Amino acid sequence: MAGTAQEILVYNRNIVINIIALILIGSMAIWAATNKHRVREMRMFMRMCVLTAGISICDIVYYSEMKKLQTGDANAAIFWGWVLIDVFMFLMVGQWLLFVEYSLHQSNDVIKRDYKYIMIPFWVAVVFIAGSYLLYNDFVFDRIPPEHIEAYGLIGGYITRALSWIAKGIIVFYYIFAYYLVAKEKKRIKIPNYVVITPTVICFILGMFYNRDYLTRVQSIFFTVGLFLIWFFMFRRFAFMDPETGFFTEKYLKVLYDNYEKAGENGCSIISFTPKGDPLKMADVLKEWIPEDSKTVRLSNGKFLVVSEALNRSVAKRYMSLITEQAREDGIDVETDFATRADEPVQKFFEKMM
Amino acid sequence: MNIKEIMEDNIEDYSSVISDDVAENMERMYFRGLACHDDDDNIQSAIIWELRSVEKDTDTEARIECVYAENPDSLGTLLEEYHNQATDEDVVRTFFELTSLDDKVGSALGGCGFDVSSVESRDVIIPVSELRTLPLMKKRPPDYVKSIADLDLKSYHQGIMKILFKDDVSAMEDLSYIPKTWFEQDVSCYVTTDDKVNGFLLVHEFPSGILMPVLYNATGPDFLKDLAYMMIYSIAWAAKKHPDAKVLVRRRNKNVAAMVGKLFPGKKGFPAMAGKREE
Repeated sequence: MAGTAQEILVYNRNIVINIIALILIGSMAIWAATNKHRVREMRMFMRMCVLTAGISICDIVYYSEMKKLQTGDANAAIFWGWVLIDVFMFLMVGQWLLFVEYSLHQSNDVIKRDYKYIMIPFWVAVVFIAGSYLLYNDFVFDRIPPEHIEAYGLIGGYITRALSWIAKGIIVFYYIFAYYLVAKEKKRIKIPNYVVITPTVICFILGMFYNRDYLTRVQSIFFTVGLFLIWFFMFRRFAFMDPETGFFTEKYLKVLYDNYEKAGENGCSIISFTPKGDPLKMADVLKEWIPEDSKTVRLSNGKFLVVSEALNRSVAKRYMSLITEQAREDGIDVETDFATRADEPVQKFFEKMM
Repeated sequence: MNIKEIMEDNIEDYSSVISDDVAENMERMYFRGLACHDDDDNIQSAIIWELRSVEKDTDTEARIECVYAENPDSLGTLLEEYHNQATDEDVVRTFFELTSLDDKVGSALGGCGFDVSSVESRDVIIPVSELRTLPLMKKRPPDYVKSIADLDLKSYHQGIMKILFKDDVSAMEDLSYIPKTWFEQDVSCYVTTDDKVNGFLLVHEFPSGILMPVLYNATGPDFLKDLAYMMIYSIAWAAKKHPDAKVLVRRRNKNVAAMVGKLFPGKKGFPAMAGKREE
């Protein structure tokens, strides 16, 4: 009786853990679905929610198969359950890598061009899983001579474990590649972009390799915590962004002050645009002209600042005239101003332009 | 002797002494010219120069693009007037590097205060036929690399401005004012990412038929790949349209010099005369 009660407790603990995970995932998915801005990032985040939910559901549904390991009554169906969880993890981390890429560069084309082969390992895995299932179902087992069944099962087990380790290896490569992307971007653009990945990676790695025991699977909770951290850092990043225009808010100016002070250089130019008219229309004009590596800030007084490294005056003049011309075509009058910082405190320079 | 200003309106009067390749620049913002005529209005000497770093925080300089001197005395008179005009425009120093300068004129310039020496020209001439043999020509550029002939003016200006926010990217100081039609429309190309122009390889075709890359730059995370694809695209088009042409590559900074050194090891510039003078 006590044994049975213990089993029931352990069984319920698994269910409870996974239900908590599903509730958390569901809440984050609802937040993403109702967020009207940064649509592409939200869609990627939703996909990660669905995949993490898949890990949880697999944990619950295949618990009964996993329990059979304890009674020694396992059949071939157990390992494709584990493999399915590995596939969800693989897809989840692949989607996360694309999310990191998009968070850094905001470019659909870069993803299409640089990641077109990212799904190949997945399809190879799907074919292998399907093949494994076809090979190891009862129809096949009934036709194997009894003296060969053990060897047949053993080989199948080794092959699918190997597949699982290959998938994990690819996942680890994705983590390393994500670090490479973040480091490369940090080197290219000196101003911080708040894409933080280490806490998420730690959770994912724990989810991949840590298992308390076969009856208390906690993979899904680690992945859920990892997902929550993605949400948290995304939310923190969005705090610097104006939801209407996608430009930075005045809150981000403090980041710019600190960055330029630390850099210790004079290399900073600001072009300001003060529209007399619909600021959102002005923002649409500016979006077409934002140079790479510069930051556009929307101020509460209606001004827009384009902050870049030290700029040639004739280039700035030409830039201002082209934007003013386009804004006028859209019915907006604009006042412009330009300055390059020269031996003055960063904050004072910015305040002069605000 | 009298000094006349050379401008876009009267440049044709100097076609016998100033090559078409230099003359066409008189319509550009920072090009200036002076000529010295004798009492019979014959051209005795002429000089064309370009102002550099005009609206930057560094010193304004002048680069002489062409010198003609029938006699050294007239050149001295001309350069005095040049000095007056240059100092009015805050030019701090004048320099030149010319392959077409003869010793007589070089000595005359030395006599006018220039520090003259023989150098290897920074310009390297490469036939299009040699460019076609580069190893990277085995690849095909993707369909997001296109000729600027297909590009509307607004997108062209947007792309140019994005790139010019990076310093010292172009051989032309007034690039933001140069019309799109200045460039060879098929050989010059651009790349887009997310429907926005983020890279150019702009090539100018001189009246003599020489092709010269003027802007070769890209932005964004895949800029290195984009640069390679644009080069492949342009060379392919140059080979199709101008198979016998030559390309003038100006090694104007370390990056360009390194690229030329890597792609064409051992390639050297022609002997030239260079000089410098503080104004």
